[in-house]
Amino acid sequence: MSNYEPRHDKISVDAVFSPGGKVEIVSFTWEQKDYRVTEVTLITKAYRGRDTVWLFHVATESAAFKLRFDTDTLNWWLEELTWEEHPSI
Amino acid sequence: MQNHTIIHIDLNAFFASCEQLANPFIRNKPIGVTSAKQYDYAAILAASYPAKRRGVKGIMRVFEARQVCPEIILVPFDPIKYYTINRRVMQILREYTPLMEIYSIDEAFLDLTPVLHLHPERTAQQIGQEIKDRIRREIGEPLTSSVGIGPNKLLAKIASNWQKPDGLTTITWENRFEYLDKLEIGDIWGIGWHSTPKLVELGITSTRQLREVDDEVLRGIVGSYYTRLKLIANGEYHDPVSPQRNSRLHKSMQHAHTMSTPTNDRDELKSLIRKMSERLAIRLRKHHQTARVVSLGLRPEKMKAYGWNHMPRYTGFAPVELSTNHGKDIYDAACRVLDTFEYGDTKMRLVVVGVSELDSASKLAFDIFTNPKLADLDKAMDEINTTYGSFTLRTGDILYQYAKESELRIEREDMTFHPTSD
Repeated sequence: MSNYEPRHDKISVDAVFSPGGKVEIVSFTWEQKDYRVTEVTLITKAYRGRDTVWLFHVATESAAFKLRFDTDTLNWWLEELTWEEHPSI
Repeated sequence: MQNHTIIHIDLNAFFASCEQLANPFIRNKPIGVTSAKQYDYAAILAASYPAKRRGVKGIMRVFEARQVCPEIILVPFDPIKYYTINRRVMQILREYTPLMEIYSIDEAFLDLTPVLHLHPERTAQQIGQEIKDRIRREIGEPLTSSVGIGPNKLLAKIASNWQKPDGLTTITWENRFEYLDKLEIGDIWGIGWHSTPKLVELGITSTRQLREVDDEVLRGIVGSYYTRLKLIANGEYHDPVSPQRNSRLHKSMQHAHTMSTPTNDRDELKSLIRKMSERLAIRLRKHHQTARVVSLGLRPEKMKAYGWNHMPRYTGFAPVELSTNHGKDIYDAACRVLDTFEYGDTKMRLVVVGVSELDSASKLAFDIFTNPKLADLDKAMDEINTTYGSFTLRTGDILYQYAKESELRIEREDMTFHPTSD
């Protein structure tokens, strides 16, 4: 049974920005725990007013996450997670 | 239009497939996309095929879906995701012909007639299969599509609907009746919910019967529309694939809101209607359109107690004095409708505000009754909100509605998608 939870937590992200506008999410830290990203499934772009917001849908071994990158503030946020077994357990 | 080569592409269970593409943990599972998953009365907007096979339908409420499929996974509606994936699909389709018509967020027609000679080594069926393969390979494995090929849009659409999910069907002018005559009359594109009961009442349930019925009898039932029905029954369809339709004006717009806490408080309802009216006005101005009619619908809580067929519905509409795209005008008209509803102590769960009879804003009535200051104010507010985020600047009378919403919700609502941007 999958579970879904909306969040709005600031996180630290280890990402590689490459020439050509490519971004690879390697891992992120949420609530003092590290999560290694196994797959970036979808990247979308949205706008808050004139500010660009990037949304990264990523998966780890045990859960799927939606991460948000604010280009204005350079902050990363965890927006949603879906899990079979809660990743923090 | 009977000798063209038209392809219709229908992305299967599109919203649900997009969610499964973004989240590997819900692939091949029964999922439902809903506007507000925590509310039993929220609607299931789309269901994955495993959910559909369990009896979940797109028109169900959450509690009904849970009854037929207790293990259904509910995910929130995410338009940014759907528009992004739609745009990638349409980019692929545009490579095949300039004659592409985006029919909806998950459907498109391609007219291959003028370009097939450029690919003499390939048939339309091979191109159709290639499109299906590319969508899955380049965008994501969960994104299956049903492709229909026909000599006109009607037959291509019937063909794509023939085999779902993941089908590829060709209907030719010669074999069209083998498909047409197997369909229920109400399942045929172009024969809507308005005509179908009248035809069924007359005993017409198949296209064969529709072809054979006397013209005058049919005219007596559906008026001048009978000529169109006769053509459809014969598989004829003369509307071309029209790229211009991609930018066509809207005929109507509406906003619906399911309340977490039902209410019969008219002030609270008016506050919500005010905000919804402003959203409609912003959309109208964005599309350079104005509206002449405003509609309002309310549905009470505890729908299950009433049963769907006996549930009281409060709906009505009111014209606006001058075609408008100003939020206060829409709100005033909606309030006139609200004032006609006598619902007593019944608490309302769902509010729907709509506008129709839309005009181009260039036809906006300009006379001594129009207040140019209001138009200037709307323009200034739109510019500020476009720059700094939706409802950064808002009128005082909708502050109450915002005060009720959490900061997080405002953050999420403020995020918009600009389909025209890269």
